Amino acid sequence: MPAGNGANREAAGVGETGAAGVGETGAAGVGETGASGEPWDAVVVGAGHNGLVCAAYLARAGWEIAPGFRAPALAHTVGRLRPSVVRELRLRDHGLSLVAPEIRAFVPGDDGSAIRLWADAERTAEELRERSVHDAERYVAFDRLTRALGRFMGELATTVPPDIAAPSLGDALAGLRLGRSFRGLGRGDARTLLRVLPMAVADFVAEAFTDDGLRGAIATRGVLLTAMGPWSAGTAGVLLADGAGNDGGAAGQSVHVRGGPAALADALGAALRASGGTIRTDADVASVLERDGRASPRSIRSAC
Amino acid sequence: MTGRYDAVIIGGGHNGLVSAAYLARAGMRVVALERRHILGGAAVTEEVFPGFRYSVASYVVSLLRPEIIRELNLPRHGLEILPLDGTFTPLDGDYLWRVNDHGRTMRELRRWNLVDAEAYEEYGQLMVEMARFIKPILSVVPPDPTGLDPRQFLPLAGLLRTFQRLPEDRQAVFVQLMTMSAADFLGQWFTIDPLIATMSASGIIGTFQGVRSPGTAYVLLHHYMGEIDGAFRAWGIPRGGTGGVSEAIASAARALGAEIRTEAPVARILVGGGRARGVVLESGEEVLADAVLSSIDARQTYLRLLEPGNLDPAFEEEVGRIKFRGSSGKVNLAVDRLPDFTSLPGDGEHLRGAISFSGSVDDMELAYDDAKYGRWSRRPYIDMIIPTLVDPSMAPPGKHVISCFVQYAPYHLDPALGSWDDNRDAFGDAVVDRIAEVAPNIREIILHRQVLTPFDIERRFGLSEGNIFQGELSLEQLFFNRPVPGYARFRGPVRDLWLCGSATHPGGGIMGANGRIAALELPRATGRKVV
Ligand SMILES: Cc1cc2nc3c(=O)[nH]c(=O)nc-3n(C[C@H](O)[C@H](O)[C@H](O)COP(=O)(O)OP(=O)(O)OC[C@H]3O[C@@H](n4cnc5c(N)ncnc54)[C@H](O)[C@@H]3O)c2cc1C
Ligand SMILES: Cc1cc2nc3c(=O)[nH]c(=O)nc-3n(C[C@H](O)[C@H](O)[C@H](O)COP(=O)(O)OP(=O)(O)OC[C@H]3O[C@@H](n4cnc5c(N)ncnc54)[C@H](O)[C@@H]3O)c2cc1C
Repeated sequence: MPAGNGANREAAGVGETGAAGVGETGAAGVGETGASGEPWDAVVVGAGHNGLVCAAYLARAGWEIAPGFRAPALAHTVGRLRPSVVRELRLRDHGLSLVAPEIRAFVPGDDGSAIRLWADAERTAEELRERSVHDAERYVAFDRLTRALGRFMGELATTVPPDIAAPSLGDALAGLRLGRSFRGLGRGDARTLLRVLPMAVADFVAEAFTDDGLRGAIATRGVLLTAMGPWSAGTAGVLLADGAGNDGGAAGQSVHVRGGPAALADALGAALRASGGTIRTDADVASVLERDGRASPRSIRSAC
Repeated sequence: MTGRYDAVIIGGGHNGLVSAAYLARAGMRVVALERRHILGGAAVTEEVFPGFRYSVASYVVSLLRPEIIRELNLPRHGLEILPLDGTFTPLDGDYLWRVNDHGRTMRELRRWNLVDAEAYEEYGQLMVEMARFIKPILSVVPPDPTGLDPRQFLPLAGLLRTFQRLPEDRQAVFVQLMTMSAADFLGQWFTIDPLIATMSASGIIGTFQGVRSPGTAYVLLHHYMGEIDGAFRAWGIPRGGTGGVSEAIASAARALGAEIRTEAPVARILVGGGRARGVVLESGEEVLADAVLSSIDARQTYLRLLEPGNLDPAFEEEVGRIKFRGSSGKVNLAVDRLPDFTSLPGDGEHLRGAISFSGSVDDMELAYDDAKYGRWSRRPYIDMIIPTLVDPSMAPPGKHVISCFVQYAPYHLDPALGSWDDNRDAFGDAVVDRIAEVAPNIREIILHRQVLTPFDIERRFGLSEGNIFQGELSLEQLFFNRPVPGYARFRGPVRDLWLCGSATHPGGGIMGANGRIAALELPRATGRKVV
């Protein structure tokens, strides 16, 4: 397949000697050139939501993108989806509709009772009164704490980890920004954050609550999607990270995509196409082509 | 000497004694007050059964700071560390035996597996490098990360520079050490199950964690630190038991002019005008001083010895949160003859080091599972030492004492099991049963048995909830979070009231670092001239 080398452009996405790109199983390579007739600026391997987000941002910046390869969506909620992504890629205009129910979690107990965690912490606290006055009185403060710490974790999540051995100016600036947010927490919360991050989530919830059912209801978020139990150190950090950059708080953030999680991929795909990107499915990437030891100056892989 | 002191120290454990010695050395008038009739706290030797002397609680010394040995001239005051050699892990029909002699250990490991043998060298070197890197942290006052004064970070600047100079793969290993579980970390190098199990055991000593719990890899490193002080390789047992360490420190302190009193339990800390003024003994006697140093844990110091109303409720809450939940027990045996291991019979050298009952990682984790649900381990992990083989003076001629450190024994038992008093004997039996699996003659040779549950450790040594380290050594309770966030600089919110025991950075163990740093920091912080 011809690579159509442009004047000052590197070839991307072609399985030809000397060119960098990706090779598909059962086919020679991504092959086709971008709309300009020149090779792709970037090929994104894997069109999970991160691949799509990554591609959409690059396309928005004027890159020519060929991502691909969508898989069925297994997730059921999208509470961790960054609001900034929704905003910046104008996903609502591309058909995304998010539903954030008033009820965040419903936890049926063995004894026929149930706990409901609401978006409104006061309302949850009111309901908890029946189970434990002590816990009800602590709930709002706990909610505030997890929100504050989660906000900081959100900042952390949007920072590219620094190169510790040789920090760049960018790393230093990011460090300063983080440092400011850290101080912004105030002394009490800042200390609490450093204490809580490495803790077991079971211990963290037990500091505030006595009711085992409530402890369990909240602690689940510390072990969700991990291979750890609630007594494992570090799971309190998982809980806080779950509330990073969203309106999680003690109850967590349950956000659904209208039409199911696949609809998020559809919106991302639409955003990408609107910026001129292309998506191919059924295109299993077999190898990344190298030239001179690099994938191609402007090609990226889906480490996004 | 009576009248007013420059400093009064609560507790005559080894850290309190170290503080007393260093303050006296700085020219201060100091008195240390010990509740019991005997000095040493958890580093103590007692004749529990006639003729048999036990290191009742702590039993080996590995972390004692070499600068303390040097500065207080402890060998002159009688300290002598008798080296222990190797770790023997008895198994059903086999064993794993590592010794100080490198060649022999390599041969043994090769018998098991060539790849592990090769990894063993690499691993040992790596851990020494890591320990060397982190070691300076043992002698600094932790900064308050939320504090504004940049000077407090100065002691760490050197550490950061060394870190940046470490090769990238070493930096990555360091991050792994700070976060991973001991078993996972070791599993990256080794495949021999009993080797991983035995090495990971030092990651869970005194904690309420299992070898597969994240965060336990750091404790491995903590234990390596003691092993690298070339000049004074101090892994061994003090002549006369661990009380020998305390005796030597006490002797040095007295020689420097410190006063030390036993049977002087402190009932209350006197506070006036927002500062500590001295203490009141249970007898009613008042001992006045410009500064009070407490070598007991933060919970007892702040919540029991201070009258209510002296503390801000937020601080009180923070102290109330400190996790103790002791997880260890101790079984001390007096025996007629030596135990005989089926897989390596006889009185050989394998009995002269540590004998580790850690057959597999699953065994270790299962022992922890029991504890998680409020039961003592039915098949516990045991670290056994036979002190009489290196120091025969501990028992009548021909007889022996055996020290068994046992995990897990949760302080908070499932109420269905009843109290620890109801369980003590059964727990002791479980320990003997576990030993008998690989050394069946154990049942016939026992003359006396002393079983210490965490409840007994609390009662006897004043260690809250029987935690052997005055507060769990978990990541959230280390360094600038020890004993509580914001107050890791050896003092809390009450002026002139200091902490100098294991409750502070760098934590527990017969180390002395806590007592030393506190005693060096006090004159500095109060602007007192050091004589
Ligand atoms: C069962 C389950 C439930 C979950 N529930 C939730 C939840 O409720 N809420 C939540 O926030 N998160 C949940 N998660 C986690 C969340 O879904 C994932 O973290 C997230 O979707 C990962 O997105 P990604 O784009 O980074 O990677 P992926 O989704 O893994 O995307 C990678 C893509 O690359 C493709 N690919 C792989 N190899 C090749 C190749 N060689 N060539 C071309 N393409 C290739 C794959 O087919 C895939 O489409 C859940 C995950 C699972 C598995
Ligand atoms: C069973 C067990 C096994 C251990 N094994 C080892 C080991 O092998 N190696 C190792 O390095 N470490 C070991 N440790 C840990 C080590 O022994 C301790 O961390 C260390 O001895 C603590 O010293 P300290 O001076 O800080 O405190 P402590 O030893 O706790 O000293 C505090 C002192 O204060 C006294 N006191 C309490 N209340 C009052 C009061 N109101 N008035 C006056 N005095 C009071 C106590 O009686 C005690 O003497 C072990 C501990 C235990 C319990």
